[in-house]
Amino acid sequence: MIAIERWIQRGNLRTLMKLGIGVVVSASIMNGAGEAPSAGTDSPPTAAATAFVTTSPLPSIARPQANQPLAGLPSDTHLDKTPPRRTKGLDLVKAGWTYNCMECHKLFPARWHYDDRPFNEHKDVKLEHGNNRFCLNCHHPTNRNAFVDYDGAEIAQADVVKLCAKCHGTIYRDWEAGVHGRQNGFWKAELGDKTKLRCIQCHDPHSPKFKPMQPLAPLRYPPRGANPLPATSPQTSAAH
Amino acid sequence: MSHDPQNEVSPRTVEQVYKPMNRRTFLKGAAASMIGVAGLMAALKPLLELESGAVTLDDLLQKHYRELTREDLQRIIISLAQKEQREYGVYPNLRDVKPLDGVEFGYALNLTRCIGCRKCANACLKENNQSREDAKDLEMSYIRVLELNKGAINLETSDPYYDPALVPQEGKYYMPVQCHQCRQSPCTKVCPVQATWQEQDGLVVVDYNWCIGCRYCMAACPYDARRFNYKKPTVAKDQINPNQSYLSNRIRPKGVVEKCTFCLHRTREGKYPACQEVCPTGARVFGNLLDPNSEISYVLNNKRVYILKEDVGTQPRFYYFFDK
Repeated sequence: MIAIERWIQRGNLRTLMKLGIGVVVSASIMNGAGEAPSAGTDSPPTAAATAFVTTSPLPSIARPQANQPLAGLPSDTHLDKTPPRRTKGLDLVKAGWTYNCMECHKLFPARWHYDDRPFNEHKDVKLEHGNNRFCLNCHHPTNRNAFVDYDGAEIAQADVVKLCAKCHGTIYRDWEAGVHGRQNGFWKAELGDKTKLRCIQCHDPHSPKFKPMQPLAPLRYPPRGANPLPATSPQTSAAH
Repeated sequence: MSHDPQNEVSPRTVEQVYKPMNRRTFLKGAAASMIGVAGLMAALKPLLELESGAVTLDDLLQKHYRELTREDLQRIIISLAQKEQREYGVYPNLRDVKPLDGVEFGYALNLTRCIGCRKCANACLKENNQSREDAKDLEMSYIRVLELNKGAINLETSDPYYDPALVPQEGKYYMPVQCHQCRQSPCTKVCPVQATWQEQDGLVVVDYNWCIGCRYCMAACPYDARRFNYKKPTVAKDQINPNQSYLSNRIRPKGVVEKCTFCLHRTREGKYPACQEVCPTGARVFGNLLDPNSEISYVLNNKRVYILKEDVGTQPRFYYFFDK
């Protein structure tokens, strides 16, 4: 078992998929999903491992964070270039699968509603996006590589801003003008390029509220007349 | 003839009349002359430094920045860069970046989007080569992020030292304050030696070689945007940002005032300022006020804009705006 894992982690999984065994593997996900993930005895009991049912021949794969492109100029080595959103990404994609959603979804029909969430992938997706309740509000019913427009036409993944603009028109207008969302690089177009982050690089489309973050420590400013306010009673400073 | 005590001449000894040197007068005189010599030495100290090479004749006789010829300025810049290499171990890419034609910089900050993460204030420290590694150092970031209570813009109850586990906090909003690059700038008016002035593109700058450190400008500024170097900046060698300019982020000497220059060494070369580069929410909008198609013009034309302390009449080039 461990030997198979190692063999697959060495990058042979992609070859495996190309040989057509991918269909078998994905079918085994489907079959194995109904079973309880309690059989994980021979793999480390991590949260990542429980995502996969280890009785099936699928390896357990650690879930490192997906590689988001860094935001900012490469020359600014001293500045913080953390991407605004950290994504986990799909397990199979990180294991070497090409990002073609239809490879699985040709097996799974488009349904407006699933009573439970039986599959291994997308199990962590929790839809908290306004009053959207269905995957097919945004995802295309027949082509899972695309999003759906008002009239049922496809919106390519690269044009995801057009999808968001369906509802968030005023914010899309601001984004087009460069006033909403993070921009990096050059303000003067003649001197250099500007990079503009797209909607889903900051917002999780399934839970789009910008997540709270830990603030950096307060700085030690030179005192100017007033000392730091007492943390316990901010009202007292207003009194005098 | 009556006896008048006022007319009475008391007999004085020769010692009393001529005050010969006794122990007390000797010590008094010695102390006074020691103080005098010490004062003289202090006054001549620059000349001693001149002899040792710590200060050059150029430093002492340098003219005001705006009166310097190109060659003089180049010589001064090279000498400053060499000094920085001696003292900090890094030879910086120090230069003088001139204003661009047809550009007036403006900055707008979205109070709806700012979450108070302080990334801008920390990027400012790093970009502008300010002291930061010693716990006793003052961190003179040009940006103070204030935490305010929702419902009003009341700076009296604001808190720059907030430190919750997560931001934004319920019922609070955050307002970063930095130099507003005022059109009617009180700080430049009060400077007794004209060491600070407005450039052609609207940036208020300081000639650190000309500043005498009187701090009048700090008292005049209604936004608390200026910082004074009480001590020589301490920056580790590997943390120095070598991209430096004479009027902005070169490592300052002790005893001068410094301030935000919208990172002119970046912005005059077309880049965004450091605080805008790191803002994770995109709350900061920077651009050319004279360009009707710029982002900043879009904000001023289409958004609800708030000017901090508008009543003091400084007419800032820094604006706050709201999304909702």
